[in-house]
Amino acid sequence: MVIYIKFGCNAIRRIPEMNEWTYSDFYLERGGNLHPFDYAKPTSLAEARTLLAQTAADGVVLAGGSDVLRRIEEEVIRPQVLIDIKGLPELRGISFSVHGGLSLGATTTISALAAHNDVRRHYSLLVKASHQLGSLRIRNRATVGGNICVALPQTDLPPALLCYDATCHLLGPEGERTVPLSECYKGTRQTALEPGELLVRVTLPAPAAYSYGAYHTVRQGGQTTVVGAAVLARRASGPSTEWRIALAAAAPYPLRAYEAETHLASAEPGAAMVEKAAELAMRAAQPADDIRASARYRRSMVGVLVRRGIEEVIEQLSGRGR
Amino acid sequence: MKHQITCKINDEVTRMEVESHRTLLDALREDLGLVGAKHACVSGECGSCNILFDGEVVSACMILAVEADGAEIITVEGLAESERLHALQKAFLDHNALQCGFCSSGMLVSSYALLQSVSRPNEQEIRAALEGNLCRCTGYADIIKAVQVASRARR
Repeated sequence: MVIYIKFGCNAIRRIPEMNEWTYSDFYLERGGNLHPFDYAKPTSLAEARTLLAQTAADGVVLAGGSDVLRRIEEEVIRPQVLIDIKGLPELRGISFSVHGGLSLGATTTISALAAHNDVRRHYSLLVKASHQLGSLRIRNRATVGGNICVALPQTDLPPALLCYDATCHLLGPEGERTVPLSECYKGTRQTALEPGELLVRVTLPAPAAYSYGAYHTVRQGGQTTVVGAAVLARRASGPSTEWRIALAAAAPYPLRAYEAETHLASAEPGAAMVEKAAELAMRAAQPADDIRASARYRRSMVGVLVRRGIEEVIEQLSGRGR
Repeated sequence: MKHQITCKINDEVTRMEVESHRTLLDALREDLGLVGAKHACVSGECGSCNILFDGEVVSACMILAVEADGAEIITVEGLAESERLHALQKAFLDHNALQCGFCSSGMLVSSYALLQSVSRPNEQEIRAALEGNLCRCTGYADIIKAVQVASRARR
């Protein structure tokens, strides 16, 4: 087995037979070409379904490409064919109604999401999360569906979507089915999508009468989130507040911190409540050690970020004079 | 597999035959000789290959050439009007916003996109627009200054 370690732009490679590390540029080694594959751009869902069924294991869905093309470049995957789903009208666009909620086509770009007026007004936590996702040029290409389907811990949009109780609509050979986003993740790079299934859109329930969300992260500008926490409070007409907390890069996949949420909903307001909730979130986290941070650092930052988030939300709630 | 694509590059309708696995960056640089967009990290991290794709800044290394069918593309070569440099290019020169110049085309394209949407950006907006564009020699202060100067010069 050849081991690659990627440092920003280039990599060093360990060649076991020689037992040494050598500098490597995958791209130049191949003479400046990606590993060859075919490309198909279906224009109807029927065509897309046929293609997905035909290609099964050898086909990879292409949306924004910021993950897929990078993995091809690094030779982590070698698909036979890329199926570009950007030509499917059913996967495009954002629609909103006060009673029906929000529907996001899977190929909606992060930039388009963050610029949409209804999203800004009623689901502002999605906008905050979008602004923390990669750099502008990534946000201009990366899609809502892609950010979910890569099933990576450090994705920024899913924690916010989890806070809004998002549902994924999957289209397969048997028809369409819905799965709550919280049940979509099976592990890192593993989702509930069956072979041949396609994420068509993500829907969010109607907005609460009032809601406020905060998304705090550890990250350098333009780079991947090292660890992050989304906190959302919702109020219907009464005084009771519903809380949501979801974490980025703190577990094998984006994760809700249910116990911390329950505690916030039931405990006496005050500093002790915030501390306890932050502690419960830390306990829920199952962070990994990797090149960006240690598990220990991540866990301790979960506590800090969740506390900051709750404090920001509480301040905002009290500012409204209840 | 080869594909016939037609796109508009720097205001010129261009037809190309490209392989499925060819990146837009390679097609621009090697097939069309537009070497302004640089080949560097090939993973969307550094900003050296920035181009405008249907009006939005993107990494040309992270897009397949075949995906550009029907798109409108502007590269750094498209900023100047014949012999007259764009205000941004002039400001970059006047204010020493480059040393080795490798990152400059990416910086210029990002700044150009910013000035298309915000005519007088403040420092914060400039920093946000250039986020993720890596410069390894000049530092960013002069670049930000140059963008500010250019935005005033355009009036």
